[in-house]
Amino acid sequence: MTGSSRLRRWLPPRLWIFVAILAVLVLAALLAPLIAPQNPEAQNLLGRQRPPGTELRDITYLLGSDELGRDLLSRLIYGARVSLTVAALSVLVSGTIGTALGMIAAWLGGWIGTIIMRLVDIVLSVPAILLAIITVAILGPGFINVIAVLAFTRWPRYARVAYGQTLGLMNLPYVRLSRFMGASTPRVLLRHILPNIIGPIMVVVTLEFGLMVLFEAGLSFLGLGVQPPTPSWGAILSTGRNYVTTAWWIAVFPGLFLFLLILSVNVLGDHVRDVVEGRR
Amino acid sequence: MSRFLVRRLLQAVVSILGVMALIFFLQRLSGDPVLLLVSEGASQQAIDALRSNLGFDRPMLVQFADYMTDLARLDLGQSVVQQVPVAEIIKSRLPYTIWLAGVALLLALGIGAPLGVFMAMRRNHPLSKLGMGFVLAGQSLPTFWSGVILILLFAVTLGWLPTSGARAAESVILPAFCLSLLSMATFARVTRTAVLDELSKPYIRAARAKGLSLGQAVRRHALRNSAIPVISIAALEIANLLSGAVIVETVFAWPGLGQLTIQSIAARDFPIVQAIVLLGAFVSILLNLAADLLYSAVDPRIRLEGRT
Repeated sequence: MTGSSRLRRWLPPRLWIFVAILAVLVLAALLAPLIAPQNPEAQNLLGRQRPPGTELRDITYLLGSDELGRDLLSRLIYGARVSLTVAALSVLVSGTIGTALGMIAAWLGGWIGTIIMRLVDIVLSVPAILLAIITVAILGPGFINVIAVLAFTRWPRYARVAYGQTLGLMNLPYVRLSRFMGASTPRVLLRHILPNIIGPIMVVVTLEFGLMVLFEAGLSFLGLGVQPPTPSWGAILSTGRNYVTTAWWIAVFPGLFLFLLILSVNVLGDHVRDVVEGRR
Repeated sequence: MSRFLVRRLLQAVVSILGVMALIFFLQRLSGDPVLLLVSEGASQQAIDALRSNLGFDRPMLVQFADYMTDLARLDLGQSVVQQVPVAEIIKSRLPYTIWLAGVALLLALGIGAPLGVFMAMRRNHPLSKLGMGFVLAGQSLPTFWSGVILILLFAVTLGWLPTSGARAAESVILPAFCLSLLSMATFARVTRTAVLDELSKPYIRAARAKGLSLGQAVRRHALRNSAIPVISIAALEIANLLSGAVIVETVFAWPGLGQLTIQSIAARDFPIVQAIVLLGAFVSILLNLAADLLYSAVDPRIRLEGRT
């Protein structure tokens, strides 16, 4: 098989556009200080609410300026950092905790297993956005707290998958043999179980990632997320709502970026799921 | 059947008790729960007075027992800011959220399900391709953005509908439509899959072989059978609509429970926030239960599995 047809099989051409969007946004986030045309927090009171393409004293506002005269494009580029970092860290934390607890619940069973899995049911029975909101109300908003809240609300998704997968594996001959030969519980779980359940866990990761982007933006939109002046797409959109009659671009562009990011992640996530499940 | 019912009911009760406990302990996590209950800038004396008044200086387990008893009596406490029973405040806002979510559900089912049937029957029709695009986009659309776009388009530019509030009867249209988009996409997708599933079965081929047209076969046979997954999804979608209302109500200044939640957080009125979250969890657990029971009522195979 030639290289290009293999690529086409693993990643059909109709998905390339989504890979491209995702790549552009990730690069924008990584290289924000290098590519942002302006300082995202530099205000210019003479250049408030200028429409996209305005030129003002050597500064071109490609996507317009906001209510304080800050360059919207620069704020959106830095906003990509916030979105992607919060989503990545919360997926990492909730995924690690959830997978660990799920494996432990399956391996130990008994009352520890029951308690963990009951807790999973309970947390999942509260609508996620409400649980996130009440936790933020208690902890207070902010970058770290948002990640903590998202991790706390979402770990049961991973625990459920890890639990089911581990139950299926733990009585297989190779696992029993390794126990027989004296492998400790952590060693069996990490060396023999984890590598074999990582596929299904990755499927949850890809499906959760878009949701985490959406949740961060939603919390920031409600004023419960990352606090100003840090540029977050949700917060920019929320402010832009007040100027929608005079400066539509402030609310429209952050939402568009958000939509494109979530769409790409979701489409590619679906594809990952198909590939993983098709291979099993 | 009855054993499955009892087991499932017990599960729901455990979940509800668990949610109550979860919120109680979350509150204690914040360090000093009294600080959640006083307005900003309260004096130290006022804080201490409230602490002994509410019994926060007693042992944790006693507090927990008290808290659970109050909830069991449906006593949700007093609003810190308005000094009115929380239940009263919720009662005044609840109809707006039910109205909003109800209209949204009608829109979602009324447009989503027929769209799904069409996409299953005419897989290669350009409209079906468009429909699949909508399904994909609908699931990635943040409501706080689509809401702003709808306001910009229909209220600001065209001037057809009010931008926000709930004064006129037509005020519900934009927020309900905005809220319904995600569920609409879900209904379209689920209906399409369900109808396609049915269409591939032998009895449909037999019906077609007898000379029924595709439309007749779908109307007379496939629709009824493909309704099962759609109905049980509907129960779950109601829960999604209710929690989605938090953001949509904020976008459209709709005076329901969602707006109340955010206002209460801003005003540091914790008892109201707690009551709404409990209510949300309660409704969502009940709807999940309803979905399961509905499913097992129409599909006996599930009942058998539940019994083992």
